[in-house]
Amino acid sequence: MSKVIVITSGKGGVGKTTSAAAISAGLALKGKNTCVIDFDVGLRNLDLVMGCERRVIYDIINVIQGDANLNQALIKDKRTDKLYILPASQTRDKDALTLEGVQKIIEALKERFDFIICDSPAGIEKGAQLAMHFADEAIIVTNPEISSIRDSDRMLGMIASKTDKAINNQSITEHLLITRYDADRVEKGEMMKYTDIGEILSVKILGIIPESPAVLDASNTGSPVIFNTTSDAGTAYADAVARLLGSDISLKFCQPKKSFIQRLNPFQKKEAATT
Amino acid sequence: MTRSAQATQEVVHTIRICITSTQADYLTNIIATTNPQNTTQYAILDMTHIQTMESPAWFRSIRSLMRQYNLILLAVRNPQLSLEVCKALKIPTIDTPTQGTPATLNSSTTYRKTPVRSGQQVYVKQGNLVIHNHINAGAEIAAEGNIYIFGSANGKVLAGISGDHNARIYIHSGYPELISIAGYSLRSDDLKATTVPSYFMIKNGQIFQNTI
Repeated sequence: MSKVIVITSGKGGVGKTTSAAAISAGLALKGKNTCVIDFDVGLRNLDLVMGCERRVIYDIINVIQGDANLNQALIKDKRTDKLYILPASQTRDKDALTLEGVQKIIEALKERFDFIICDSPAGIEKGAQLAMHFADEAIIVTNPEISSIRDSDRMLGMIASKTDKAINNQSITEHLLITRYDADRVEKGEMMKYTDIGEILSVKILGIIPESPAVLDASNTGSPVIFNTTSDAGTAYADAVARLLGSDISLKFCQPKKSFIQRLNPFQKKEAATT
Repeated sequence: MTRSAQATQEVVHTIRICITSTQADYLTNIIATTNPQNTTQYAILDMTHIQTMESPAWFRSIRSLMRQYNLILLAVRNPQLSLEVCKALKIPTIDTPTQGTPATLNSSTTYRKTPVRSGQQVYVKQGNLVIHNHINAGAEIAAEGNIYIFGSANGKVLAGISGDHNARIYIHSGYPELISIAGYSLRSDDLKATTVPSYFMIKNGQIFQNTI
């Protein structure tokens, strides 16, 4: 039974594409046949993050308009043999997407793949609505920051009312992915705590991705951060993928890092507080 | 006051025409656009915003004007002025703002268990509204009767939307953007952030916030 998962947020720049790349690669690493679709028509980025920008010949709009078939447009990832990418068009805009076209593509992909990951564009307009329309599950990407949380809340409202499943009175499983989380700043009271975010949005947390230089490195080199197994962010995404597949792993990176001296002396912090 | 008319006669749908001026052009325009289907309708003339007294001739002319557009003048509402003129013309008057409560007339209750998210609107036309979850910032809920919120209330909350002054709003916690009862409203600047359960009600033409 294949699953369609939309990765969305409302607000731009929170890490949707990074997360889509990492999660789809993570699922492929776990042996699942995975396809990731870029819905950001006109602002194509996923191919860059996946490192396949030179291999894009046909895109989703070509498939919708019948200029190419689906197999011609799908790009096989070079690192894992179970991952395929369906890129967006850079020359067109979101109006070129149609509900029937998207439905046809997703129906066709469902026959081949276990997981279909839809990377949604920012905003609440046509592109984002079509990306979420046929979803079975949704991953909401949120930064620990009020504007991102409000936009995510709006997206959750749309997922619960405008998608195909919602219209047919079925429920969509919602997951919350908190990115760019900095536990040290949370400790200082400069950033919202993950439990507060989960409570405001009333959604179960899928993972906490810490702020990490590895994420930018991954984008620059065109290799999803999940392949960097030594980095914080890579580990966090791997855990999130495992949770998505049903494992019960406790959240990491939600406590501040201790310095070397603090780790040697557990009383050090208490003393500092009393003096 | 629409309600009171409904209570006396079984099913009489009344429409309310609220006027802000007594000029002939303005009135002709407003009455002409009120009844587009041109079916026979009962209407209440709301003169709350009119400060000056009108002559019997004025009332007679407006009554005939309304009749032209198939509107039957059921009553005139004017809390400020004495309406001797109307009584002389045998037009009923309404001077008290509320007559009975919609909540008791229609004691149906709508329940909602899921959170009301930013950008969503929950609108209950008749009866009370009970919400078992959060009202997030940017959401809007409205009901004709009372509203009870058992999560944290952070959006706009409007009770008694068809003019029920006895409607109340109960909230468990939160910091609403707007509280409104029967058109009277409190903005978030005028509210106290609530960590303890509290309720809002109208008293002497003002909304009061009290802790339970």
